[in-house]
Amino acid sequence: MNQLNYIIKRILQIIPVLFLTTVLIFLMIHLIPGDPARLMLGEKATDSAVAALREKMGLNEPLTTQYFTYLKGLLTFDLGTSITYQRPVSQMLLERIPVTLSLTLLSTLLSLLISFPLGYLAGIHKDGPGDQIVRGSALVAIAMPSFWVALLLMLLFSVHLRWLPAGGWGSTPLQHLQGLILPALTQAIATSAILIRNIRNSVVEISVMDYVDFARSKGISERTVRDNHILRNTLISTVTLLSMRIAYMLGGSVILETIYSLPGIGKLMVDSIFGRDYVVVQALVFLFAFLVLVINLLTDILYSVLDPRVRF
Amino acid sequence: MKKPLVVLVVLLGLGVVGFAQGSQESKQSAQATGTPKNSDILVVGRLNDAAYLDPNAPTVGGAEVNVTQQIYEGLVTVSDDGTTIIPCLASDWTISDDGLTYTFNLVPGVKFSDGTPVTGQDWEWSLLRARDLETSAYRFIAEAIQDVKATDNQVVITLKYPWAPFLADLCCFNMVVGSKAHYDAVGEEAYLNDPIGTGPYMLKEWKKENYILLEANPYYRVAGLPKTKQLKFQVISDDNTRMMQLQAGQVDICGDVPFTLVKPLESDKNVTVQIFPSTQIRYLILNTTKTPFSDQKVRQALVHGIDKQEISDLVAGEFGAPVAALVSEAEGKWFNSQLKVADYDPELCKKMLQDAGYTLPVPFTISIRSGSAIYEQIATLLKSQLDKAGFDVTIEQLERASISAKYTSLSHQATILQWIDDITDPSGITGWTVDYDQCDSWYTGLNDVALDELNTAANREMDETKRVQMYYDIQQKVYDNANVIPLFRNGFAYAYDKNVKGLYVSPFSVVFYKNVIKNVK
Repeated sequence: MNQLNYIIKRILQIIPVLFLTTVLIFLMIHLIPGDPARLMLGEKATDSAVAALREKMGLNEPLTTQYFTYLKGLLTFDLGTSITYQRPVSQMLLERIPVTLSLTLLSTLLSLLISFPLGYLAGIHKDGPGDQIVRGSALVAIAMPSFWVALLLMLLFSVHLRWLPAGGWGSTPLQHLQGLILPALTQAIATSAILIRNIRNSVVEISVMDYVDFARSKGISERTVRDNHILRNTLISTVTLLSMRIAYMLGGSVILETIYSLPGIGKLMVDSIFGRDYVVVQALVFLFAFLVLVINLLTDILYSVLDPRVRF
Repeated sequence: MKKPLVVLVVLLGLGVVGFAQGSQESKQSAQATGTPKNSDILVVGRLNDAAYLDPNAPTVGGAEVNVTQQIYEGLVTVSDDGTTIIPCLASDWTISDDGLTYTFNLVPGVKFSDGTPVTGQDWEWSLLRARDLETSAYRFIAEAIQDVKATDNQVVITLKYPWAPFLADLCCFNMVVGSKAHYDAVGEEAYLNDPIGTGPYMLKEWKKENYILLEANPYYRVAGLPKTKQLKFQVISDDNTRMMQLQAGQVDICGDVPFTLVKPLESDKNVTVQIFPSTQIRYLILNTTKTPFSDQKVRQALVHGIDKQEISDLVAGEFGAPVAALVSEAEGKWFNSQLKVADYDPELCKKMLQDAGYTLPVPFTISIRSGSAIYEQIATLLKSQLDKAGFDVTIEQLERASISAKYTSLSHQATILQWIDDITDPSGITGWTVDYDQCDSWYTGLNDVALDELNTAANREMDETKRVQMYYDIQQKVYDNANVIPLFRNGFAYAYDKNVKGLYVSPFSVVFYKNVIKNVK
């Protein structure tokens, strides 16, 4: 099977998964107790006002009708109108997706920036003092919950040093960047800790492989051996781990965007769940599921680029 | 690989330098000028964004009211301490002897923020809309209105029946004047988010779920106000982050400060923490349609099993106090100070339960809203106390929609709720508690017809001395019924930059920002 066929097959596999996701999301939202119309109008609203709003929102329709309306909306990117904010959900998502993706991208870049040099050097200098310090630090970083790291970083960089804002998105590109640095660093600390341990162990294992010894015995320079034989092979397992972490970071944005007050899809998810804004929750859970599936697909494709042995 | 990393490092460096430079410049600018100067903008950090900016919208809470009160004004308003009704857009008024006709003389020359004059038609339309808009969450405030006739100089309101709290009702945030012409031009849907009023501020920009920016109304009727040109309500959903943004100088004022964070903030020399008197009380609500609370003896026994002092101390610290009466002390003369907090006596509670024929422990469930640290804390303390007093308490946490569905359908046994008055009158809380038709007597299901009639009579009694006594009697009866058990009251905690002056929070949790300034030297 050639690569293109494999990719097409993988994309087709995504469709039933997404369909199942829509069914699960719809049922979860509609079968739990609580009336969105009552919640929206508040406890002091009259029963007639609640009934009028239920009718307007289509909540009196049979569940199957409501489901197909939802499905049709998904296919046409008409995701409905937010109950809480009375705005088209598609418009809200388009405003917010860049925030979350920027955060995830910056977090990923920072993670790589931190983890590769440290993990690689720790592996090369196995059991040396540097290796011990890096491994110990990584262990501590893994043990620290993100919300706590976030508070510590804000205390240091915002309250005491006043170098960076304690959350917020601002209104200019520079302010957006400033607002992203601390949340991205928070994500990166946790992700780097995991990546460092993985890279270090891979380097240690690969360094004693026969093909590395063979390369050295051929007289290839140490730098070339490290770059082409050790580092490249380290990338394969790192890519797997990183793709899982990127999916995790997308989910983690729910917490970090709330703490750092970033108007991304994670924060929207939290607000919408508490506000029983089921229209937005449906769209967001679907979006998260879609993004995770896409990341997995891209990871599989990347394997074949990094490792010529991988064939489909 | 290297180039993107270099670009990334440079970008991050720029971000840090840019922010630090901005902070430095503001400091240098303040030092260079040396003379006192007011900041052009006040930034208020708050937990939630408004859903709408129409005080007659379907959703109206603190997040909405604290913005709309800067934009809209009514005929009358309340004094800063919340106890006196004072003129606003009406210069003076008279009330007919039968209590059915209120005549207000208007302040001349008042304009909306778009420069158009306020007309009698605007007043008629606004007050009747407050009464008639089906989806308004607060239309009950205006339900006593029979008709409104207005000229450009006078507003005459006739009532369906004498309604003693009517003047207080007119101070409520939804009894304000809006521009009918603007409404006609934009339509109902847009009007909910596009306010034009006569208040000190007008809407400049609303970045939903992010911030609301208000700007001084150039046509405001009082020269020199508002004192600060712009007012920004910034949404910061996390309490810790909000407080750190205050300490970092990103925001100037934060309300709803968690009591646990008050002490750390007080130690920051750049921050002032102030506790304002409030009408906020937390209550234990018992469902009288379900066992064991269908038995009044169980409810009365339970009162002795609760150590309100401990709950108040642990939840609100020095900023709270245990309460016995339904009506808040901040309501002044309406508060029945004769009612005393029952002694905490778990043994007496057990004895009363046994005398009533119950086998100990008596099990019940307290259903509370999840995600609220205060409610979780109160429920945990109640369980700890009542388990020692002959009960076996289970705590059930439900998200907001589920808990609301549970108590509105009277399928709970007990829950914890709170109340903050909207007006300077006890009729709000007493109506909510004893009027079975409003909400099953605050979700307790107790249909005490005599008490309901007493409340109706109190609302229509125009002799204030008699009326005060009637509300005392209502509070006594609720105390005896023990279906709604007041636990503790607490003040409103605000933290603000030490250079902010003139901040005052009403007991109804409303802040008027027109006199607030921030001195930047």
